[in-house]
Amino acid sequence: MTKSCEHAISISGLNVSVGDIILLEDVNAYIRCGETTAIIGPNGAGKTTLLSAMMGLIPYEGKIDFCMTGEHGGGAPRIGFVPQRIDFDRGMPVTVLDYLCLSQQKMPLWLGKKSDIKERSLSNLDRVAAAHLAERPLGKLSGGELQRVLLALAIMDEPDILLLDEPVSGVDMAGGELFCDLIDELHREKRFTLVLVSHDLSVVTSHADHVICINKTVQCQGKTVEVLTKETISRVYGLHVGIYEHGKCSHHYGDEK
Amino acid sequence: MEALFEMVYGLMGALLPFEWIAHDFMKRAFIAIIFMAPAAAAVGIHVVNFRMSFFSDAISHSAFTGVAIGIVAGIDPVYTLVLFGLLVGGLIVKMRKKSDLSVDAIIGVAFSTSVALGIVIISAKRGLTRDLHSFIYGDLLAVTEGELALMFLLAAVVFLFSVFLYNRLILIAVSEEVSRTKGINTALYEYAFSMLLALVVCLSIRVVGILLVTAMIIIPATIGRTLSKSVGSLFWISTLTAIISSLGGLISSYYWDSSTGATVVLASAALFIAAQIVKAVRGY
Repeated sequence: MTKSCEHAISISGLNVSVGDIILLEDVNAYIRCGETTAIIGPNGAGKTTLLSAMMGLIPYEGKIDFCMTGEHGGGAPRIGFVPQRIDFDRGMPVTVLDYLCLSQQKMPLWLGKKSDIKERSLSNLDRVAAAHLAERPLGKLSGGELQRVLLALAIMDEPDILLLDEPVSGVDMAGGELFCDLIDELHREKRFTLVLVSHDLSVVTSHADHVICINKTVQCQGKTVEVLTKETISRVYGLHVGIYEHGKCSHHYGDEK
Repeated sequence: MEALFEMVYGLMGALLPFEWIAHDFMKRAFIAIIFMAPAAAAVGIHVVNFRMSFFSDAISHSAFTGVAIGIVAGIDPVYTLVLFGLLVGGLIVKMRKKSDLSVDAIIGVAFSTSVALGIVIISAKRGLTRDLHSFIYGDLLAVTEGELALMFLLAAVVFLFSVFLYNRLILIAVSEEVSRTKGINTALYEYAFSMLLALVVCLSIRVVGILLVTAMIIIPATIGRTLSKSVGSLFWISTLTAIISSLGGLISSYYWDSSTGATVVLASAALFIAAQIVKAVRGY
């Protein structure tokens, strides 16, 4: 990513509605280049909707501008996305390696896998500690394993921006910890812009440089330490929420429930 | 075209010197099935993945109306049945996007409406029932050379589809959401695939009949799913079992003097049972 880009994504006057229901109203926000930005807010606040709009998957009004000087030259940046979970037919005979190759290879998989694509897929699996899963059917993976495979798929194209939707919900504590470690490691190595959606404040405080609090519209945004005050949290979430104070170590994934 | 077919028959006579294929109608049946069975199976893989077998059933039953319209209007029913099948398929996909109703409810309505319309037309015009018989049960041995040419074209389209779009369709079947973030226009693929499926269903009606079309499309794919562990072998096992069961069915029906389409479906059902046994024995 070139230095000239301060904001990887600039959002202005964003409105999203389905029928009469307003999901997002006049959202103005920016995502800083190369840093980690967390989008937080209560359930139904429009966090996932905002991600979908950034990826251009849903119609919206307003402007979402991307910094056009990505690492891969000019033009639109590459976006990688790891969904919260995927619901799929677990009986499909698709191996983990198949799944990664499907997205990269033009030649139909029934004519075999190209060796360079196979190698690249395997090395990406290795980056997310999932090389041993290559020949495993996709339907036989645990939640944490599937999430790492989806991460491997998301980083196959060496994205400029990586979007994570609720990265640790639905995964057990060890799995969540591993996942966050991997993300940290990849982020240090590649310096992509990382955007994560979470309602788990402990994940946010330990990982994000910047925070955008939304509830239909932006409630506040800025540096994590400045934004996550008691007042803003109770404004966004309601009265009875506070940050669960963890110790000093770097990873906390909020499985205190 | 006649000269071309004469040449093909001559060649087949030389290459396959068997009693069952001596007659020209058996040669035509052989060609029809050798093109349509793997095409139906290749499409069937995605029908099973996308859970579209009810959609396929609805298209095949719309043929009641398609055929009736053709006969009443004095057009070759094969054309009206294909056009009407495409129309019904397109309407279902469109409704699915616009409506809050569930897919199976929409298909159920389209299904019964088109069957009812067909029955109304047929019952009002006496004497049509006999023509309809060959469509309900299939009449592989009466396939014309014109239909063979259509089947060949369709098989070629399905082949190209399987070469260029196979990977993407499987990717969409696993997760539409992830595919969209990879820049795949999933809605376009859905339309294109639904229309191709409608075409395959309509032309397969000549082979196995309205009642058994869906079986011809999905049984080989279910065998593929049962026995394969990867996306590549899924394709090969599905299409090869389709060819084996259709040839087995064709030859058996000649000696048993039974309905060819039904015998073909029975042969693939036998392979399906065998596959389940193999899987149970191997234990994966």
